[in-house]
Amino acid sequence: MIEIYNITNLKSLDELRIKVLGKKGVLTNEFAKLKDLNEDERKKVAKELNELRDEFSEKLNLKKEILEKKEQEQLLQKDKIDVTLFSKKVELGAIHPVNYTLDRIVEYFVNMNFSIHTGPLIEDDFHNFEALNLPNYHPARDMQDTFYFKDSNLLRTHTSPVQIRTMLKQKPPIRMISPGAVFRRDFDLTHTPMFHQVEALVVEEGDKVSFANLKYILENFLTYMFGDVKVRFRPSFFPFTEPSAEVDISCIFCNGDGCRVCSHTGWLEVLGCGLVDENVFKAVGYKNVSGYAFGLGVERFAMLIHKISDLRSLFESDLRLLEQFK
Amino acid sequence: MIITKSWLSEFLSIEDIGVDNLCLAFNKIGLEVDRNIKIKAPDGVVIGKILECDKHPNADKLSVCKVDIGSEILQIVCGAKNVSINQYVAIATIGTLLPNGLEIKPVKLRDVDSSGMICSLEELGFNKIEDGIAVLDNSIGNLIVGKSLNDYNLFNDDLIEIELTANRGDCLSIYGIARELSSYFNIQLKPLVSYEEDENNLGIGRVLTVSHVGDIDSSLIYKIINFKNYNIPFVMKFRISQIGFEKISQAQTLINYVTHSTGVIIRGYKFDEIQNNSKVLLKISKNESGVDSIYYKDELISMIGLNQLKNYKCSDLNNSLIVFEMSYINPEFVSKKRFDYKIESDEIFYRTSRGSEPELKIGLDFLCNSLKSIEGVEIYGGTCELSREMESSTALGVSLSKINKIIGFEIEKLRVVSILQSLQFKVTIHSDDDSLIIGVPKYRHDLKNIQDIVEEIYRIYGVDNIKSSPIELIEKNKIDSSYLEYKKLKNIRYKAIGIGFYETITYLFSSKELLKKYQCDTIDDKLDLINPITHELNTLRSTLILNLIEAVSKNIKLNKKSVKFFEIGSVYNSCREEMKKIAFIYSGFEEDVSIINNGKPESISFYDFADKIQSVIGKFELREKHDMENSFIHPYQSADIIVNGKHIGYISKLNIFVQNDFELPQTFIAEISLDNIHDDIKITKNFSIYQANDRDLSFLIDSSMNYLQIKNEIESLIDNGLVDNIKEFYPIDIFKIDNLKNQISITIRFVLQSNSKTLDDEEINSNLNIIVKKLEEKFSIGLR
Repeated sequence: MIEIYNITNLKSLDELRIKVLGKKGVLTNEFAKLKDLNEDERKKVAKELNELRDEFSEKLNLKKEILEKKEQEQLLQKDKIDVTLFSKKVELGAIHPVNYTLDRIVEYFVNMNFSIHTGPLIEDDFHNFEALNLPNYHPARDMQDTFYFKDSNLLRTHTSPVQIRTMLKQKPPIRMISPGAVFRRDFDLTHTPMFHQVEALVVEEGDKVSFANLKYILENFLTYMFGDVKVRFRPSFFPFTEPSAEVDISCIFCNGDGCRVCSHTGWLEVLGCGLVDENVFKAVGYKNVSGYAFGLGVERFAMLIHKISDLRSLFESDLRLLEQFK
Repeated sequence: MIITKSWLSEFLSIEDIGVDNLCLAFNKIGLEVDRNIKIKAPDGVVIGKILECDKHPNADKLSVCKVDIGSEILQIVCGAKNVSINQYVAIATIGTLLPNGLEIKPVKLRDVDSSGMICSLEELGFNKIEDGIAVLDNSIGNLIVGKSLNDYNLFNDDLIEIELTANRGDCLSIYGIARELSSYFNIQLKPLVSYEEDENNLGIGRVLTVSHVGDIDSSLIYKIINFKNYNIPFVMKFRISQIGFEKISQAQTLINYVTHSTGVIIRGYKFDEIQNNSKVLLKISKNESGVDSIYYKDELISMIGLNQLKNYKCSDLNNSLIVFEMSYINPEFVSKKRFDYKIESDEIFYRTSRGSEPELKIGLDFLCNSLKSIEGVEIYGGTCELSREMESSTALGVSLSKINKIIGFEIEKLRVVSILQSLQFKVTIHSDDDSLIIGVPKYRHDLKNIQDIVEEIYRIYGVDNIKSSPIELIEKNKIDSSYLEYKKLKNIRYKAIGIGFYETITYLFSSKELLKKYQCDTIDDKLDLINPITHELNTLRSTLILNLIEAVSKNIKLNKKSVKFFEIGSVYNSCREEMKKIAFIYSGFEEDVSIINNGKPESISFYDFADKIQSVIGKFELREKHDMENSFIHPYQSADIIVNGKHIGYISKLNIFVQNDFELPQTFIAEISLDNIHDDIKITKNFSIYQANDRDLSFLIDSSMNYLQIKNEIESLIDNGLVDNIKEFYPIDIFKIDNLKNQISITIRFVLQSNSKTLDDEEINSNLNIIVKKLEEKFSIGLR
C-alpha cells in the first residue's frame, strides 16, 4: 500500500498492479488460499481480502489519474513558448482612410435607398458649370480653380455633373449619390489638386420635397458619421441650390467649447446643401418637380473622424499613416 | 468683408449687443463669420498733448517733449520724425505693458530723463497707417488729455470678418450689413442724413458738363469738390487700415472709406484743365464692347464698373478740384461683358460684379457730409446726373401655401409678412388671403423667384426652428449595374488587403516626361492640360504603375523593407479615353523582420506574386509576354493575364533598370483592366466520394519549351475523352540538370479520381501512359 505513494510513473504503477492483482499477484494468491479454509474463517478472511482489494484498487486508480495528468502536463510543457515575444507581423494590408470613409458614407445612403451613380472625370462646360446655373461670367466661377484641356474640356470641379447626366437620362423620382474624385487647381496646406466628394440628389414630382426633408436626412446622416453631435444649418449660397445652407456639427474635438480645430467657434463646417434651383431643373428639361441636393468632402470627413492633421498626407502613400488603418 | 462694431454703430444702435450675439446672428442669417477679434489699446495708454518739443541736446534724431497727460506733465524723449508741438498723441505711461512685451519704465536716454513713451499704432498693436507716432484728432471723439485710450470706442472695438457668398453684393458695406442686422434684431436703422447744399458755393456747371450719346445702362452722379488744405481724419485712416489697405493715397483713403461705409461705387478724376477753371466736358457712350464708357477729349478714361485709366486718377487731394463719380451698373450685365470681351478690370469689379449699392445718393450724401464745413474744403453746388430708365423694382407674386410646402413646415402668415417687411420688401396681401405680392428692393438684384423669397424667410425665421421630417418613399429597387460595380470593387479591395496589400490613392496626374522616359502611352499634346499645377504633374496618367513606383520609392527611403500597394483608379490613353484599372506593386521582402521569420524574411518569386494577384482577382492564365507596352516590364519575367481567353492586363517583375533608377529592392508589378473581372455566381460540380490518388511524373523537356504547350496537349486529351479520371494536374517542380545542356526537368502532379469507384493501379497507369505517349509523340519528350 505504501508503495503506491512512492511510485512516480505510470509504468511502475502498472507493474505494481500486476504484482498485487495479476494472475500471480500477492492478493490473487491470498484469494486462491481461501478454498483451504473452513467456512467461517473463509467468510471472514474473504471479507477482509475484498476490503483490502477494494482499497488497493481505489488508491491505485487515484494514483493513476494523478500520474496521467502529470504526464500530460509534462508533454504540454514541452510546447511552452514566451508568448510575450509576440510582435508585429500582421499580413493584412489596409483600406485607404479616404476610401474607408467613402465606404461608410455609401453604406449609409445605400441603406437609405439611394442609388449610386458615377460619371467621367473629364467633363465639358455644360455639365460642370452651365447646367448647374453657373454661367461663364458667374463670379463664383474662377478660371484659376479649374483644370482645362486644350480642347476646352475640363476636369470636373465637383461631382455635380453626374446629377445633370442622371437627370438628362432618367425621369423623376431620383434618389442618388455620386461619389468620386474631383479636381481644383489649388495646392497648399489645406488644398490638394484632387480630392473626393459625395453628392446626393433627390427629385420627386410636384412639391413633395421640402427643406424639412433635407434637414431630416442630414441630421440623421451626420449623427451616423460623427456620433452624438449637434447639427446646425447656416443659410448660405450656392448657384445650383436655392435656398441653400452650410451645415456645421458641434466640434468633436472640444464638444463645442471652442478649440484650435474649430477656430474657437465650437462648430465645424462639414457640408453644403439646398433645394435644387429651378434653373438647374430648367437646364435638364424637368417641369413641376422639387428636390434637394447636398455635397460633402470625403477628405474632410476622414480627417475629422480619424484625427488626421495634414490633408496632403492622404495622397502621399506613406505607410506610416496607412499602417494605422489595419 | 471686414466690419467693426464701432463702425456698424454709426448706422445701427447695437452698442448693447454683445459680440458673441452679433456673431451668432450673422451665422444664423447666412453671413458666415470667419474671424472675430478684439481690438483694444493696452491699459495705461492715455491721451497726451505735446506742450513743448525741443531737440535732444546729445542726439540729432531725438526730441525732448513736455507732454500734458492731465494729472501731470511728463518729460518724454521721442525718436519719431513726425513729432511736433500741439499734437494729441497716445502716451504709454510708466508701468504700461505693450503688446510687444515692452514694459514702460523711467529711463535716461543719452542723459535725459524720459518717463513714458509716445506710441506709434504698431506699438499699440494696431495696423500701421504711416511712419512715426500716431497723431490723433477729434474724429475719434472729444480729445481729453489723460483719458484712457481704450475709453474711446475706436480703441476698444470688435473686428469681425464675414465670408460673403457671391450673391450678397448688398452686404459689401457697413450700411448693408447694418440693414441685415436691423431686420434680424428688429432695430430701426439710424436715419441717413441728407446733405444740404450751401447756396453760397460755386455751382458745378461752371467747370463740368456731362453729356451722353445713345442709351446708357448705368446710373451716374458727378460732384465736384475743391480741396485746398484737407487732412484725412484719423478715424478714416485707422479704419481703412483695419480693413486691410496699406499705404494708399489720400484720395483712395477717402473713396474707399465712403464705399466701404455705403456700398456705393465712387471714382475720383483729376483734370489739369479744370484746375485753371476751364470747363471740362465728359462724354458718355458705349464703347465697342457695349459698356458705358467715359470719354474725355475723345480719350477713353474709364469703363463703368470695370476700370479706370491711371492718367486721370486722383491720388493727392490737396490743391485740386476733384471730380467724384458715383455709379451703378447691373452686376450680371457687367460680368457678362467682362467675360465676353475679356476686358481687364480693377478692384472695383469685385463689388460691381456682385452688385453695388444702387441708391447713389447714399454715397453722395455720406461723402459730402464727411467733408462739409471743413476749412479748406469747398463742395461745389449741384450735381450732374445721368441714369437709365429706372427699372421698376422687381415684384414677385408668391403663394403662402407654396412657401410652406417648400420649407416643409408651417410658418404663420403674419410672421412671413413681418419678416419680409423687416427686410424692406413691400408686401401686399392678395384678396384670396394666400397670394402675396412682394416688391423687392433694388439692392437685392439676386432675388428672382419664390425659392429666393423662401430663403429670405427661412434665414430670418431661423433654419434651426424648422422641424425636420423624413420623406415618404415609394419602394424602388436600387440594385443596378453601378451598385454591383461598386460591390465588385469593394470585394476586390478587401481581398487585396487580406493578403497584405495596402490601398493607396495617388493623384490622377503624372509627369509627361517620366511617362515618355518609360515608354508609356501619353495623352496627345492637342488634348492635354492647359494649366497643370506643377511641372511634375503636367498630364493625366496613362498607367497606375509609375505613381505606385514613386509611392514605393518614398517608403523604401523611409527604411521600409516590405512595401505592397494596390490602387484602383482611372488612366488615360493617347486619345484621352478613360479606363479603370487596378494595379499592384510588391517590393522587397515578403514581410518585415520579426520573431515569426526568425529575423530572416524571405523574398518572393514571380510565381508567389502571381498567386497573390490570382487570389484577389480570381483565376487566370498567364501567357508569355511579347509586346512590352512600357519599360517597367521585365522582358524575361513578364506575362499577359488571360481570363476567359481575353487579355486583361500584365504581370511582371519590375525591370531591373527601372528598379535601379528608383533605388528599389526586387519588385513585382501588375496592372489589370477592371472591365473583364467579374464576380460570377459559382456553379458547383458533383464531387467524388472515392479516394483520390496523386502521381508525380517528371519529364525532360527542352528549355525553349514552355509549360503551356504541355498543358494544352494534356487538356486536349482530357477534352477529347482519351484519358479520364484526371481531376487536375499542375507543375510542382522544375530544375536544370547540370550535365544536360538546354534540358530541364519538370515534375507534374496528376490527381486521379473516379466518381464511381476507387481506382486501382492499373487504371491509373493506363491513363498516365496515354499522356506520356502523347507527349513523346508530339514533343519527343520523355520521362526522366
